[in-house]
Amino acid sequence: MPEAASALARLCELYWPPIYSFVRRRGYAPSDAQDLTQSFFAFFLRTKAYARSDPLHGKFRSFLLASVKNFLSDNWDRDQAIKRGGDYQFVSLDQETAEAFYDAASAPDSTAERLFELRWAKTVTAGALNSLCKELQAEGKLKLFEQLKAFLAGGSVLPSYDDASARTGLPRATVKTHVHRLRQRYREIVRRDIARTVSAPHEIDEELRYLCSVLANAA
Amino acid sequence: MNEGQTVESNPVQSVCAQCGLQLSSSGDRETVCVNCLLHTALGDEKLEQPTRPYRFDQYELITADDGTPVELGRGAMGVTYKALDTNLHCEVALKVIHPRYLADESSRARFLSEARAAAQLRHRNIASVFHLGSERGEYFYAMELIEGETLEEQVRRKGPIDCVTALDITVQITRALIAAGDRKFVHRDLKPSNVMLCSEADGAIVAKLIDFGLVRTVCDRSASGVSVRTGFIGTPHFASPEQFAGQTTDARSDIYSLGVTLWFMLTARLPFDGTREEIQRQQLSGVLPVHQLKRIPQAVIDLIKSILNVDSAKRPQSPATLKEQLHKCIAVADTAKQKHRRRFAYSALAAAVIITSILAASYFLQRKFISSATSEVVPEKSIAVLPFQNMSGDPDNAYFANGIQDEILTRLSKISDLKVIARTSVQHYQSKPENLPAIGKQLGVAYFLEGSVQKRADAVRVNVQLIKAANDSHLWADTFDRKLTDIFAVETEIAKTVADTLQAKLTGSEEQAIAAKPTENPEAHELYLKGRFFWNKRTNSDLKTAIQYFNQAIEKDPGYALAYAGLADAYAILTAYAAAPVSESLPRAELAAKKALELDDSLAEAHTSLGLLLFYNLDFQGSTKEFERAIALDPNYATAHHWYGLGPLRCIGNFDKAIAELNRALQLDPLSLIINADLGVGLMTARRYDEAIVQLRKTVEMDPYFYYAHLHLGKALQLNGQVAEAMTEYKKAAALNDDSLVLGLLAQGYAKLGQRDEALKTLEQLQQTATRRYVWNYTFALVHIALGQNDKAIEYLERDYRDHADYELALIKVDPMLDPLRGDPRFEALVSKVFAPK
Repeated sequence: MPEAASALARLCELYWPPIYSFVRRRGYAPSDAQDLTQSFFAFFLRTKAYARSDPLHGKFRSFLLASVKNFLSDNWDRDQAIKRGGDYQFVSLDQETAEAFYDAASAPDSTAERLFELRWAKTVTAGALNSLCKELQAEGKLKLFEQLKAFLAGGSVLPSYDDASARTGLPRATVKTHVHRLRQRYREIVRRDIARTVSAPHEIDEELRYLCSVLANAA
Repeated sequence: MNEGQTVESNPVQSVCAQCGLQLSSSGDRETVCVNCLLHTALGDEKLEQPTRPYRFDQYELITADDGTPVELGRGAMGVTYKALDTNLHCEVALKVIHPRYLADESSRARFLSEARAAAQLRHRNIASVFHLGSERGEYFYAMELIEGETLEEQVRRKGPIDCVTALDITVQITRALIAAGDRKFVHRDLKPSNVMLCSEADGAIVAKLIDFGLVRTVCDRSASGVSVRTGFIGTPHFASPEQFAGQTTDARSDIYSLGVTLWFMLTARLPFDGTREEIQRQQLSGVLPVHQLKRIPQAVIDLIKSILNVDSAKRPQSPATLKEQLHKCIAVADTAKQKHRRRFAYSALAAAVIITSILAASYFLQRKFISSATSEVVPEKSIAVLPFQNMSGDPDNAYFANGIQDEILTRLSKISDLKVIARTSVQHYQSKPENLPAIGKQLGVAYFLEGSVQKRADAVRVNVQLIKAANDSHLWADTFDRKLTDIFAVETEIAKTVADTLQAKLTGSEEQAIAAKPTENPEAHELYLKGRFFWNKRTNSDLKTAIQYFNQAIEKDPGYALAYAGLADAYAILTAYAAAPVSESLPRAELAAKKALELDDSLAEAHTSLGLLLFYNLDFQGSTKEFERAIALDPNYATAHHWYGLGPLRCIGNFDKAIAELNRALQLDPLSLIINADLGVGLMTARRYDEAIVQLRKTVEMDPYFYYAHLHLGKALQLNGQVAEAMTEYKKAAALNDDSLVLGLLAQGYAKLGQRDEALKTLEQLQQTATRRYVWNYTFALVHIALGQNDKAIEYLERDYRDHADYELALIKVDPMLDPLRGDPRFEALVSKVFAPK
């Protein structure tokens, strides 16, 4: 099923930050963690490990986490991966970028598994926000997006419709309509992205709630 | 989704003014709150509001006790839930598109066209669709909730449906097809799981067609003059030949699928089975296994044959025509049913008269009656353990119910005073079949054990009933509520009670054997049961899954002898299913079998596996010893009798004993195709060709698609001098399975018929095959014998011995096909080598 395989490869490309963070929190140095992350994806796709899972049941997040755990617990594969010294490049990954995503200062007490889930939540939400940003940019509304983003994404300052109205020069009611549309579109994008990683419609909500609970527990 | 574009090198630690959680502190040019983004995605704009239950527009998914939504079905396109319409306060079935198709425009379009097509069809025999909607980019549609079960579920639960009812259901679906035809729709996925059955207040059964996921409009050929080809779409077992061919389909394609559905209702079986390619091959052969339609009126069989005609022009041409023909069949079937009832009443009356007469008649007459009756009497101490019903509500627990049945059966089979039917002969019956007396006769048993298993967490409930086959009366029934850790004790108690009730004598060692507790570790036991569950499925991948489970069981309990025996069995037959080379699987099998016996020398299964392995190694003496030990430990183990007869006994030329063992295996496993065929093979090797042909023809009648039986029937006919008839059988075998031995037999057959060119051409084909996959040396030897090239044939056999590649070499002393080589010193030297003491 080459189509399914390439779709999977695309998914893996998107979800490398949680994997890298997991490997780092397991105690590997940045350069080893980079090699291991690249090699894990190579191993995962080459051995068709995903073919052993039931495509109709289960979440991709859990499956990927279990797979990387198995990968790291297998001494031979792990050592080989380090010895190869990163001759395989699955995703374009430099140390600075990778370390920024790992973000050692954040969630210092979290286990590797918990950090994986936190980074997963961040990857999903930030990715959807990025897609939305691109859509708005294509429509020539990048500035509007930047001005109203806080209504979706929170921030250190509480957003207010009056301030937004003053900043954008739009009537308050129009701002509210734009915010409503942005929220609606964001919801669709993030749900579409999550849909690729679950196996039943009701699991989209389940996954969102689960990620909320991960954040709540980490707080 | 690339966070890399928004990386910031100096992390910022701050909290979200909206929700108070820590803001994402790196990887973003401007800080964002992941929590707020997630809640936006959930639609909770005010965070203090509780999150909504699973909801699509006004439909709220109904959840089970554990909080998960109640699923009614899961298909390729979507998941169907039980939901509540919060406006109308009524329950509905809500089908929601599968997440994986959300981003796929063509799939979404298909989902919409399904809903729209179904909504256009308002008919009593079609599930109504009344609302199509989308929320948050997810599509769903609501349809009437049908309280009942699918036709497939009913047949699987209760077995075949009586002829008149099956025809009536078919008429109802035909009506649905007429309604679909009026709108120019073709369903394209008609099958038992897409037909719901529900009962009306007066008890009448109503069938409703569901799932229009593959529906399409009939191409109007008269207008366009072009027929549109599509790739294969549908469910292989029920698809029409034109669907397989990717051709345009019309109502006649649905009629074909309905024919397969009717077959399934009448027999609880499918006319064609196997992989997609195998099904297509069987369809195109035009041969239907009509023997499955026993006791079905001829008129119905004729109609089914016409519905399942490969050529759509020869089928009933429209649902309306079909409906008329079905009505005629109902009249015939109804009359037959009445006659049968009357005959039954007359028989009962006649029986009463006979019994009265017997009581009053002379001693001579009594003797005569009794002697004719006893000629059909089955042994009193005989039993079949039917499949146990899985009552756990979770189909994934089927392995557990199967396992309990299997273990009780194994315990009983250790009792030599009892005849216990093997698992393969009982497995395709339902848990509670309706016609026990008939099944009792077929299997040759006087009693049945029925049961059900309910597993919840670490507790288990086992219900059993012991039933007398002759009159369907219950002798004993009991319910056991125990902890999972006590399951072996329950199995022992059931086996003992059965033995006591049937007054079977138990020796001391047999008592010990049925009270065995193979492991103290319940987790290991469950893994073992899962292993056996997959082992019994006998496909390449299932055997490999079984091996994984057995290994896991061993990890949990390294002293678990049965798990090693399972591992040995799986590796031993892996070669036969072409899943592993001999050199790889056999040493592993041997290692596992030996380990099993080291832990517990009383395991018949392990001795049997070892017997087979030693036979493969041409150690006939060692093999004999192991099989005899296995039979002494478990006299009812059909496989031990089977392999012993077919293996060492046959190869050393002890034909009387070999055939006696094969017959014993057949008594214990009367419906096993392979044992039926191998009895024929044994008779053939003993040069009793007429009997072999009869036995192999019987096997072919049991299943016309069993290529192995055709192959050996061909050999028996050839050896009997009927080469032309043999070729017909070889060709049938070739059509059913791409086996290189069949190709070899065809080549040598052509040579024997004097068609040397054809023989050489086929030999070339065989050589080509050998470049892609392994071909037995024995196969090449047969072709060269037929071509009169005995030296070359011997060369191949010598190579075989050197490489230790095929087990056919074990037959060198007795195989009639090798007779032309006998007397040649090189050949005789090879025979001596094969039979040299090991």
